[in-house]
Amino acid sequence: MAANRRTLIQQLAALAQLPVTTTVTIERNQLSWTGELQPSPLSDIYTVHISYATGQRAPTVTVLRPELGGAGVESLPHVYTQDHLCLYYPWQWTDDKLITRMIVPWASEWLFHYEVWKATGTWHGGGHEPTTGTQAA
Amino acid sequence: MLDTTSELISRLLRDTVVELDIPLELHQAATREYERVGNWLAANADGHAGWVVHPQGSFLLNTVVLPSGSDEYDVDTVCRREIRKESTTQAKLKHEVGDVLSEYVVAHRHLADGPTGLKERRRCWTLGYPYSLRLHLDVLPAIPNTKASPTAILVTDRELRAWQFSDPLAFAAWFKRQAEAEAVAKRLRLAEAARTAPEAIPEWEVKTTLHRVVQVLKLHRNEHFRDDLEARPASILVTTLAAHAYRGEQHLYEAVLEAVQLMPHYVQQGPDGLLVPNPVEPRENFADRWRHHPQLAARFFGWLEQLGEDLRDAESHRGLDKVAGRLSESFGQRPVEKAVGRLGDTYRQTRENGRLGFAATSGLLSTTGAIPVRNHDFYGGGSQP
Repeated sequence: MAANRRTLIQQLAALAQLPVTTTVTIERNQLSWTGELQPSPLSDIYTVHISYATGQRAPTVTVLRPELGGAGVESLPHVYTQDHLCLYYPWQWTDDKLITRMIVPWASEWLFHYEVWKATGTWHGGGHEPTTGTQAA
Repeated sequence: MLDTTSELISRLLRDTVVELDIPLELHQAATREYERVGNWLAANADGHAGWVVHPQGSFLLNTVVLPSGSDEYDVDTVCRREIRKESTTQAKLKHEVGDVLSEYVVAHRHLADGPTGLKERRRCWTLGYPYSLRLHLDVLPAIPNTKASPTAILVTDRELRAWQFSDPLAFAAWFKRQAEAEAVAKRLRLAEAARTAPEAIPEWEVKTTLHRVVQVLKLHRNEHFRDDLEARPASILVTTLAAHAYRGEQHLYEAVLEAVQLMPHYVQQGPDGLLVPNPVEPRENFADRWRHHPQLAARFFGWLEQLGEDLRDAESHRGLDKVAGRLSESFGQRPVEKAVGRLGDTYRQTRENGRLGFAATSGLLSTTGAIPVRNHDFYGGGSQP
């Protein structure tokens, strides 16, 4: 844990000022954010959820709408179990950082590369390679 | 960088045609080959110096696209025999050129990049090469047209009695003039980026939006008429009308839409039917076939409308995968997928170079986004730490 850890209130205050934010709340020490991201002018608009609890190592990012995957998709690239997005190496996020500055832009970038992956079958976003997702031929 | 749907779809269209454009190495190999044919003919054929081989068509115009369903590029050339019309006939000229070309094949077929064979076609001879070269050379026999410009020629046609008028070098110069200022500016930019002199940039690299418009039109045409080659409009017809309609737009998507809308206005009504005159040799009508087959004109106009609809429809989709799917239907899956992959690489590299920003108002990623996207690596699967 970094020495100057951001509090959930600080994270909420920053997220509340982000125009793409739909809702942001803290309940029982759990931050919950929902926002709408369109990574490129030709991209879909995605409703994304981020949750982050006191003491949690890193925020959890999920896509609520539209449903990821679809016909022919067997597994998604760069996701953890339950399709939480894998956005960074563990050491690239520390709790002195703001979700608005790091996690939200990375989520948008993930969505961009997800669409490229759906079109091409190849992950062009870079990063660690063990699960790049599979689509039926 | 790619802040609007028009900019983004223009990038996808450009990279789709880049995928099917002739690569520089092949362009250079083809140039070496027609020069070798020309030099050999000049040194070995009857009348010696009276033989000249030069490129024509899309290879000369810089608007090549890989033919649909093929892995080989067509390289069009003219074999100009410096003799008078009165001293030969169409059949004689065609056979003389065919004879020297077969001697050329015999003399060079032992070479790794030498020709493998020669075939006669309606208007030209086709030299074939080993598969690895990915090209064939069409050689059109011609003689000077002494009653017109110094570059004007008369060409043979097995199915027509009269010599056909043509002037491919003057046409190429005319085509170039339609986007001249843009080409000059582009050449300067490329030279500046490469820290070299403008004249050191090969012509092949200097592609204006007009070049790309013609390539988009040809690619869509190839797919649209894939199963009906007889009805397919000729490249020269498409190129001429597109060049007339070109207004110097910078975004390819809008330039193509404008071309599609304006091209029909440059088809003229002549006394014997529709006319698309060769702008440098008005006796040559590029729409000649429409006189005997008026339904082909209707098919042509229908195709232009379809192209406009296809592009607008693709632009209205949301989801790069859905846009790509729609473009694939019109332009072929492989080049479109490659273009989308290239776009993905561009975004990744922009972020790696620290230039990708995030717009807090929309989530849009671009170089103008206010929040810098910090460098990071998408991680693998498993359980989240």
